[in-house]
Amino acid sequence: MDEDRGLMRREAKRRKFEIVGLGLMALGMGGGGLAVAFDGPDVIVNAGAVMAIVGALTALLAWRPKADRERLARDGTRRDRVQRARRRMMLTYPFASVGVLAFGLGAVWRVGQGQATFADLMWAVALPLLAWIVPVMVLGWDKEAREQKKWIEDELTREWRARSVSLGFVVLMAGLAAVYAVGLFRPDWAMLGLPVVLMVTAGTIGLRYVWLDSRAEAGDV
Amino acid sequence: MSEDDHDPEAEYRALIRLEHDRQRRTLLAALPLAFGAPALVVVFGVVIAGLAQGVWLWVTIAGGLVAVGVTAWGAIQLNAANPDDQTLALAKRTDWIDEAQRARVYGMLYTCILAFIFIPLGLSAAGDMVSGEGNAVRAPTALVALLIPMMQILMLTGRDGGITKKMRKYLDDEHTQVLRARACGTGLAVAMIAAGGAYLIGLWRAEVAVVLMLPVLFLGSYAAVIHYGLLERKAERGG
Repeated sequence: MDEDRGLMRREAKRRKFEIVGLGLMALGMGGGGLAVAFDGPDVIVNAGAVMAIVGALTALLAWRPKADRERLARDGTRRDRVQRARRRMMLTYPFASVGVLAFGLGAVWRVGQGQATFADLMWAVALPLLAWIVPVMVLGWDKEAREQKKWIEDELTREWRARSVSLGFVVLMAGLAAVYAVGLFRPDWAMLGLPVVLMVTAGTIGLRYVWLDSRAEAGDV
Repeated sequence: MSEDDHDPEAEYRALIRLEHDRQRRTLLAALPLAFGAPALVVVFGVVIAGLAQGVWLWVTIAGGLVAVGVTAWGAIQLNAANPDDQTLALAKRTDWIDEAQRARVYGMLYTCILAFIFIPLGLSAAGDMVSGEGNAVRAPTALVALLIPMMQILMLTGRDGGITKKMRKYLDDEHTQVLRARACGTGLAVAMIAAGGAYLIGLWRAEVAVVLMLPVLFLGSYAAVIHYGLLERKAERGG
């Protein structure tokens, strides 16, 4: 029993480290990416790159020790393992998409200014599609979820899904309203804001789901 | 217990009377809000745009303060329109809660009618704004249309003034939460697809995307509200 508690404590600590690392990486990639996309000063590009590397290393260092990993694999049922793997993806995607978004915004800006290349156009078109990845995973519409439905769908995950999607809806509507209000005065800014709102919505849905699910696993509900 | 003590029919009628009275008071309380809040917006616009000079500036500011007072009074009144404990104790024994629940759903659906006024108004004002012909009147006209989807989302998520703390446990039950979550999922999918479409058009012409944001917002909230109404109807019919 004590061993279990120790494992759980280590897991909670590890998760904190991982989130801080991923956050740092996202910040670095976002800042650096924006600087690259809009021809910003080199200092920001370099600082962003350093931050992204430090963040990625922190997240990697927070990897489970082998003993814990084996223990979890032995203890957990198949359901736990499948859900844990999905949760990990839902946690990583929103952070990883910050960098993609930053590069994409540069492309959107150039499209708006009429200086776009074909690659810019592809980037700009890809952004709203990328925003669908996390919501599709949470809603269980992807291939993996449909194949492993009996492991992924249970009463709890359905409840977390409902709660996170409701929050995402409110965030999306508030964001779109803000984009509209800003766009009345600066339409080109609105075009930069729109993919940000879509990505933030996707991130909110994914992170809220992960948070609810991990809180339930820690026995906090 | 004799027949006189517990006559469900009479109790029910009394409750409906009380509820109508409460609804009337709520409507009356909404009046100061309906005048105070727009007045605040106008005062803000006039001061920001620098339309009032000298003594008129102070008159406008005084008007703004009055508008704040009126709005606050309306908000307090709206919150005070709460059924008392006796009403609630009686309500639990009758269909009154169901009746109130149904009234909320109808209220939500009725707000959809407002689109016929606000979408044309908002679209034309937004069109003027993005083509650079906006002024201090067109900007609020374009923005005020946002109130409708906002109101619908507040009602759908049970955060409007009509659902008070005391009423929450009756009107915000598990059944409602399940239906609400499903409706929100529909709204999210519709709004995200529509916003993605508007964005793709915006890559070609940014101004069009901004004007399209208004129908996108209406589409999202309407999809959610109408799906909620349909789910509620299905549940009532035992589906």
